[in-house]
Amino acid sequence: MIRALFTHFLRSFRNRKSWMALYLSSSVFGVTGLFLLFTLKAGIDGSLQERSQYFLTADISVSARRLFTEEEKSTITRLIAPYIKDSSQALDLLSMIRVSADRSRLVDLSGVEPSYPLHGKILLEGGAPASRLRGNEIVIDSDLRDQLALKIGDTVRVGDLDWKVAGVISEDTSSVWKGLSIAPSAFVSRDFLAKSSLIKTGSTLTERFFYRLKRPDDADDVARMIRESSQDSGIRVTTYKSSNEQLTRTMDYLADYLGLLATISFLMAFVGTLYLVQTERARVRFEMALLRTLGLKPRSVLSLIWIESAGLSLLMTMISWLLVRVMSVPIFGWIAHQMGVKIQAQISGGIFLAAFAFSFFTYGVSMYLLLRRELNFPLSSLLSGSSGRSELSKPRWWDVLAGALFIFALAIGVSHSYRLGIAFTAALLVAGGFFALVFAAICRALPVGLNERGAFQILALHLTRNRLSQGIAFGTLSFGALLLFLIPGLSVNFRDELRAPDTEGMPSLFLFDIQPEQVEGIRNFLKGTPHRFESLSPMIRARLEKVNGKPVEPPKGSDSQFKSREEQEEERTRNRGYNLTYRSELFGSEKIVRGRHTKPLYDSSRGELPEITVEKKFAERLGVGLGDTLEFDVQSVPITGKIVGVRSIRWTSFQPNFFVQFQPGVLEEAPKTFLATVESASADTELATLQSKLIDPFPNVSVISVRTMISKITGVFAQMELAIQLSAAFVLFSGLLVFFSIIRLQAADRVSEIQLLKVLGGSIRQVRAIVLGEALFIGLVAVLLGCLLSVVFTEVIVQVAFSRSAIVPVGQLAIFGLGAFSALSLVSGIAFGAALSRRPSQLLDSSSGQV
Amino acid sequence: MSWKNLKVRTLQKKFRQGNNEITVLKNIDLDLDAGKSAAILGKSGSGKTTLLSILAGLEPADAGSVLWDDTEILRLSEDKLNPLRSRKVGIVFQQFHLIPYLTALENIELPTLWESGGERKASAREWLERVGLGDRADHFPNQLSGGEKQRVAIARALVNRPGLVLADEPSGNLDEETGTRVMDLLFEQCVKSGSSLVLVTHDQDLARRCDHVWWLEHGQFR
Repeated sequence: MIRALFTHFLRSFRNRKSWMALYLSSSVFGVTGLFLLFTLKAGIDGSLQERSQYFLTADISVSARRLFTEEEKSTITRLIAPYIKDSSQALDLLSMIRVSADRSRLVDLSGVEPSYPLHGKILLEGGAPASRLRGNEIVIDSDLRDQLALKIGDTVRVGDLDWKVAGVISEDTSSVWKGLSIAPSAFVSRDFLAKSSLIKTGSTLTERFFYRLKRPDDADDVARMIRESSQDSGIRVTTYKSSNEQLTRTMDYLADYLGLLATISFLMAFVGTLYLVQTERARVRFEMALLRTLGLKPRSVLSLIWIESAGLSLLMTMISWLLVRVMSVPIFGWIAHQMGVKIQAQISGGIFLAAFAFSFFTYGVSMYLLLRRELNFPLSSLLSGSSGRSELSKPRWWDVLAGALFIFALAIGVSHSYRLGIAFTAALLVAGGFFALVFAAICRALPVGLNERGAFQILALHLTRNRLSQGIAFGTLSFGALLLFLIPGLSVNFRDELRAPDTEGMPSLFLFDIQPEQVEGIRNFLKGTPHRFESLSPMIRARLEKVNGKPVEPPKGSDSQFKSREEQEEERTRNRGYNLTYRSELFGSEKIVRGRHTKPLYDSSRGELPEITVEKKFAERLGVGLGDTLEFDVQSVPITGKIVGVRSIRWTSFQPNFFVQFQPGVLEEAPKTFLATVESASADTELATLQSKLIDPFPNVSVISVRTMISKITGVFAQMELAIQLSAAFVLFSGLLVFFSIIRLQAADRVSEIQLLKVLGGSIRQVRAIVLGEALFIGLVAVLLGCLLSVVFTEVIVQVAFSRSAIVPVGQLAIFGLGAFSALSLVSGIAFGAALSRRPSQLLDSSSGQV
Repeated sequence: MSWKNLKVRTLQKKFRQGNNEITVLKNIDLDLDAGKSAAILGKSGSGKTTLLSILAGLEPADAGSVLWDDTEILRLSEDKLNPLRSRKVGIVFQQFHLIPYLTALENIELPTLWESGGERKASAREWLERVGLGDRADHFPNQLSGGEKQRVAIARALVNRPGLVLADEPSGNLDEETGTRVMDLLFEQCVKSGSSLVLVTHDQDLARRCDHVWWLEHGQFR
């Protein structure tokens, strides 16, 4: 039976080539987008898995943002000694490196031992290992060499010490995606660094211990043993298996958002498929009824649908595979260049199967949902000559629910985020509902009969009496237009967010690691200069111990199962130590969104808990709100605060912003450092000079040029934006193909009708006005609606992301609108032009009973 | 409607199939005066439908002329020919060819859409009554039987009171009884409206009802 059905499918395929070509061309890019995404993710994971030991430089690393105590060190050593083959240590901190009065730079300084790295290699130009350092030798990143115009043998100042440049790093297998690092790397001897004055209490440093195991597969067990031996959640234990998860978090986010674009492309193809499939209803109705009269069981009729789905999906997947093979070379090459990681385009059997499954379910689901009632067409109608309903049946509510659940599952699966999945599905449903309402209103407003002279009525009647099929066409065009207009809107606002001018209070320099006794010194240093010392904020390191009296569970460690973004963020929230601060007034970058700001001063005589305010998203991740309490361990002193307010923060303000703020009068005695900003209207060269001048009197203070940082981030995001725009262009192209397919099919569907209208007296001009007029009318309304809704969506997204109103790029939207409408007009003209030019004599040869 | 005659002179039509050229019609001449009827008979493939297509202005000819009321139609552009056709010629197809999303009444109104006139709807409704479907005005084609569809098609062909009606095997898709009733209706209404009728048919009994019978064989009238 299956063989017979398959033979029938092949014959059907042979005779429906043009329909098949339309289906394949409109859907292939949707499937290709998903295919490409799966392949990209697999390639990244594969490359990183392979190199994960290199990234970590060991099998296990144990680290903390402080110096380990001797007890901690000996406990760990005792526990894991039987498993260890090699070990190494490192100290990492951010510090300023200065060459001259006007040349200085923030550097990511690592003090390492000769045995570092235990896996991989860090080599200098010339091939020597970077870690064999003696005394005050320093080896630097090539970026640093170029920025500070350094050469081997030069002397640089780091902290209060002079260091001699002993080499330039040419290969570092431990580095990944340097694009977003705030400082280039430099290596010094760990022993020498530990004895220098750079290591002060409160300095932002990380101490790391690296271990190579006798058997790398023991990594998870060894990691568990170390975690269980310490109650300090600030001690982080990382295995090589999990290191790539952390290292590629940013890449994962990019992949997830690209995945959403791929999902949109796929969904547009899905909607296009719905439209294409519904044009098959007459054939399906007749053919399946006939097959049933010839002996086919109803169940077997359904099998035919699934066989057809499988056959077409296989073909679709193979075409997509070919396209991915071609496209992956330049795309992966570009990403590899940006990430500094070689990515193999691995199209595994699993990926092929996943792409096939998506395609199969899309076609199969569409066929089944739209045509299942046609499958039950009464066989007796074949004899009576009745051809059944001409218009689709309305979907039932559970059809819509099934479709919504499918989209929801797809969005979550691709974005790895419940929040994003819900938001995406909700946005699609809102947009779909809006488009449906508008379409229904248009149909109600149009005339219901041939009341007046002119071609307009036939246009109107074709629209209003084929509501479902025309509604699907309208919906597809509207969604495509929405996406088209969303991209420039979001791009403009995103770019604007990162290019805020200084006049809006953006600082020029950001200072941290300021010791308390240095505050007045810096203030006096800047007095009398055009630079203002602002936003002075104390920073106290602490660990979150309890929420509402219940201890915070330490993280369970990573595993390979699906974890949503929300779960990952919640785990990180429980994992981190926190920087606390206290201030009496809010900065300009923050505002209270719930509750109130803390009272100016804590009064312990009242017997109340100190007041704190928390950042909005931090509160959401922890699941806390007004009235809840958080207990922190501040250098072994437990301090509990009660939440009285929730703040929203404009993180791109580059002000010292904190998740948790105490009221003054609580933390003043705690060990702390200070953060501050320097605001200045001076030129970049003057700021560079200031930066260098600060090093001598304040050697441990780190300075970041905000302008340089913004420029760097803008550059990186420009590249990410390029990736997003390319993906969006891909989506738009696939959308245009869907449009073209729909319009082509509409034209093909109406060939006989067009000929009949000409036969009955309509001139070409009149008939063209009817058919083209409808297509352009739908297209124009879709473009306008898409533009309008995109402005609304952009406003919502920008409000959520940046807490401000969106900029509406009117000019760009107008150009896009004109372009979209022109493309639609061109496509419609071509599609209907062919139909208009055909001779009406074919009507005398037609074998169907209807037009 | 004023209609004098249909004239055809030395009509020729060839079709190309690959490298072969097939002459379908050779030097066809015919005359049909106003109010007269004619049947075109012939075997399958004899060129009947091709001839009807050319007479209706749906297909060009390779040589010769077709005159509707002394107007040569083969040289006219579609922009001029189509409106002329709607006024002067009505066509009844074997396959009915009704637009599925228009009601019976709206399908009949179609030929009148291109001209002004407040009588349009009244005329269409009148013809719907004449063909006995006055109570089916708001029904769609898929709600009508084959015979009813053909009656709507006949009404549509006659709504503008054309001088010439061309019918391509109008009962070909109907059972004998229905076909007979449909043909009776067609003849009756053509007579009443004074329209000439050219009928392509296999049915010799039907052909005998016409004023003229033209046998088409090997592209020529016998």
